[in-house]
Amino acid sequence: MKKEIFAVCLLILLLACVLINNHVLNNITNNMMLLIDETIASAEKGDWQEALERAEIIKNYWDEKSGYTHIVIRHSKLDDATAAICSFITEVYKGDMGGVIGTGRALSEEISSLFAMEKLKIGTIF
Amino acid sequence: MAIIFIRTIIVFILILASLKLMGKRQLGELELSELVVAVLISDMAALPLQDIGIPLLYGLIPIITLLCCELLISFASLKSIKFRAMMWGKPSILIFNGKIVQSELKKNRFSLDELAESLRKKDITEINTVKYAILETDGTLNTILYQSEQAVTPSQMNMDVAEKGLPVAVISDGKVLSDNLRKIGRDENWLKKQLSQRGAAKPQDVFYMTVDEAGGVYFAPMEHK
Repeated sequence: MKKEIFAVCLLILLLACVLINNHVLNNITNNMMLLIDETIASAEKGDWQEALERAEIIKNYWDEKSGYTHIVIRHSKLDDATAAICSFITEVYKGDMGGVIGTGRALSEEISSLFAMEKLKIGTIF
Repeated sequence: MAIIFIRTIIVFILILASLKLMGKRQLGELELSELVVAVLISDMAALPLQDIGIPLLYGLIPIITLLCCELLISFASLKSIKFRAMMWGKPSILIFNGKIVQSELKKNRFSLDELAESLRKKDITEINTVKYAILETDGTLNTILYQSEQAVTPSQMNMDVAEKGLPVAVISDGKVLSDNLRKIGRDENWLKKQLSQRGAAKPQDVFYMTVDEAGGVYFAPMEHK
């Protein structure tokens, strides 16, 4: 009986961890998207200094979360996202509005697709 | 390389623990769901070992989940006969009272060649010596021969044969198994006496020694190089 109780508790624990993971990744996604939008908004206003600062915050935030994301997400996907972040920062440094918007949208897509796989939906399960 | 090395050790320990918890030692004795779990576990375990870009959790979580599900299924099948029958089916009688039950053969997709082969594996070459042949849920075939075809037993010959009981190992690879010695009601002094009677100076000179309930001793000395 002890083994079975242990098994049930372990399953419940796993389920809880999965749900918490979803929540954490959702937070990371939302924060990243917000930072990207703020950077683009700053660039559109013409305040490139602020845009640069925000872009650096994106990179630092991503690096800060990399310890966790490397445990739960495929590294190849994370590498693609990191490359997209670097492209975005490069465009901000260049001061190219078109490039900032383009790479910003690509980065948003990359980040949201990364975490979309973790969402519990019929599409992702099947 | 170091990552693969450490991951392999972690996965190996987890699989060992999982299979130990499942409680079966021989692959051939696994029931259907246990076989599925064993195969899946080995496949899942290989994923993060082959590609270090895949998080280790992608291998560990499925293994733990499968293990828990298997434990619960085993428990449920232990408690409920209906559930057991639903999961693993029931044994099928392929030969009943000496007659081949053709409907059961068809139902289990068991050909005559396979039946003959399974009987030959049990040293049975003539089907007419078999009274019952039962196909178990794990796929093994068990047979019961007609009484006249079975080996004679001492009780049938009205012979009194002393019960030897279960032999218990008291020395294994030079080491004294004190727990076992106590279980059979013996002590170190008795052991020393037995060793000296057989020309062994100390337990380290003995490779294997067993004692049965009747006091019979099996003794294998250590081969010294």
